[in-house]
Amino acid sequence: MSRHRSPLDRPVLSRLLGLRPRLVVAFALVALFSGAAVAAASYRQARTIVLEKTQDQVADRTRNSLEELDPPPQLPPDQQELERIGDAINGLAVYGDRRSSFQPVPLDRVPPQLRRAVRERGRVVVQRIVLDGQPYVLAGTEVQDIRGQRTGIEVYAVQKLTSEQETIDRLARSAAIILALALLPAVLLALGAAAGVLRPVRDLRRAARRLAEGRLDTRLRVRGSDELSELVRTFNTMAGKLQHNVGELRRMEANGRRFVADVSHELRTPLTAMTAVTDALEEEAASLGGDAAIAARIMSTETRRLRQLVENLIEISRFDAGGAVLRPERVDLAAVVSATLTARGWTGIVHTDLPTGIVAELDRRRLDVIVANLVGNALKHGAPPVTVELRAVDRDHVVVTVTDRGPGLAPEILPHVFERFYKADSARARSDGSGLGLAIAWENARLHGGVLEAGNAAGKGARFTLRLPRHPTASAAATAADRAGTGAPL
Amino acid sequence: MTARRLVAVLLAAGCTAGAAGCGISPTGPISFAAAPRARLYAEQVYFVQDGRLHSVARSPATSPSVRDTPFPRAVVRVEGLDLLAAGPLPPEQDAGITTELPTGIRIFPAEQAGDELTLFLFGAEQPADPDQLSDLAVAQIACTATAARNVEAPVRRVTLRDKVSGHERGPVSCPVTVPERRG
Repeated sequence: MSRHRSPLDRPVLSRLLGLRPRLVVAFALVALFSGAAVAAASYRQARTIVLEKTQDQVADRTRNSLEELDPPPQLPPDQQELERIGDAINGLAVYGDRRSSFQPVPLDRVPPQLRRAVRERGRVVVQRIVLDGQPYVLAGTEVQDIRGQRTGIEVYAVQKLTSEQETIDRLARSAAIILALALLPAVLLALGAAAGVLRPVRDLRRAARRLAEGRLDTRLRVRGSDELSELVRTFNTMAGKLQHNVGELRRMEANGRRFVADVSHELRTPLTAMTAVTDALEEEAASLGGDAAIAARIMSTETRRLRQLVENLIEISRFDAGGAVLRPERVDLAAVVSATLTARGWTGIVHTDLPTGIVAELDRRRLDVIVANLVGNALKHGAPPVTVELRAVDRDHVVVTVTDRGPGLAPEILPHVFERFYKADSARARSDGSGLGLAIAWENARLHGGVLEAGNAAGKGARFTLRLPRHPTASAAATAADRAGTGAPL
Repeated sequence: MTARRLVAVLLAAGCTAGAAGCGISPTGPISFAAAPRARLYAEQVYFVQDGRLHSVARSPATSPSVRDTPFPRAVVRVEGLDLLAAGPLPPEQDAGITTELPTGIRIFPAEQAGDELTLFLFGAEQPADPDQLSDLAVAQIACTATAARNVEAPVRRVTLRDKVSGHERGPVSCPVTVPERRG
């Protein structure tokens, strides 16, 4: 069951690359790109039209003024004649190394390539130039005579493109504004589309989380017939299968548990009767003598063992069924542990370190069960001396350790020590104990909201550490109450 | 859309915007309408500049020296040849334009057969022997005659004849391309 990570846990980058931002960015880019393409195309078109119109005007005006020049230019022209021609076209007239005195664009600012083109092409040649950041259009030509022969007079008319520049700038500005305005509906559309796509995804996520939390009856409504609805349908199928299988498993497990519980209960009554009989027989064993006495004793012992096993089974069934109830009361731990040891007749055998005055709210009976099982286990499987120590580790917890001086627990055994009917020594198929003692101790510790751990002492031997809260927390009790066999090693 | 694809799209957009450009950019020379034709006749007269033929356009009858030069009577005059004989004007001389023709020479058509024109050379102060003219001087005459306006028909070859001795040279053709005679 993987823990769900909230969106805030995710790195910023992956959040930025989420489906919604990506959709919005993609939409915005598409809008921006197509808008920019259209705007750029129409802008260029408009700019070309504006500029060509002006260029045509300049070229035509120059051409017409020269053709209508009256009287026609004298060849070769003297300086006065050059000035007259220059004035006529409002530009520059050049003949050989002489030129008219036209100031706005002097001849040395006329690009050499334009002069070359004028001399070589025999046509009106137009060129746009930028001087000191100002755009100009230059129209140059060589005047021909009436038959089209050269006269050697070059003229260059010039016009500032300031107003055209303004027109074009206005075009660009309005294109940019329109583009920006188009971006807004694009983003809104993108958000709408993202919401449409993301709603099923969000629903799916929520449903999957609910499913992960164990609510297996979670289903989603199927809308439409697109890929996402297909996914929703698959999700529903999966949830249905899961619910069915888990239900089946739970039912089977519950059946098994109930069977064990029922069997244990059914066995209890006859066993009680049998115990009474075998106890009586054992008392009489001395008088029976011979094999009969041995048989009577064996029968008595085994019946007691069987009865113990059934009691343990009933106990653990209660845990599994969630029927185990904690009855906490204020107790002095040293007194409870001492009482346990005394009751089992272990007072002389077990070393104790039980400082008095450590008080906790605990279920006295269950603590007795835990300590009895741990000490019993140590006496049975470890080697003496067995030591029981009681410590108050902090304000809220107490620790009871049971240590023996035996060979200790092998590492491969450690994870399985608290499993039911786990046999550390496989050769010893039949244990003296029921095989449920440590499991029951573990369940009891857990019921208190505590922990029971198995390990090895620093020197030699096994050490079991019981750590219990001084006050059973509400959550521990609740967890203990509603758990149904999950979590405990089986 | 991966980050890499996003960058590619942005790059493409930037390139498009860059190609479109803003404002008014300079251009190269763009040929436009035909050159204007002023209401005048320009005689192409071939002088010499830097050792090569150099044509100068002249309005007819602009050189007072041409008008004032005494000519034999009943001579058909070709204006371009008169202008050629008169030599470059002072401003043209200042610009390095010279002539290889001897001073005071006069040139006028004798006869024309098809595209071949025979010209008389007449020296005012000294004999105008065609053989004593440099090749460049002969080319000057041939080209100016070929481009001349008021001859009977288009001229391709020119023969020079000394008016006094009757000595001839030619026919020769203009070694450079001259404007086609029209009108």
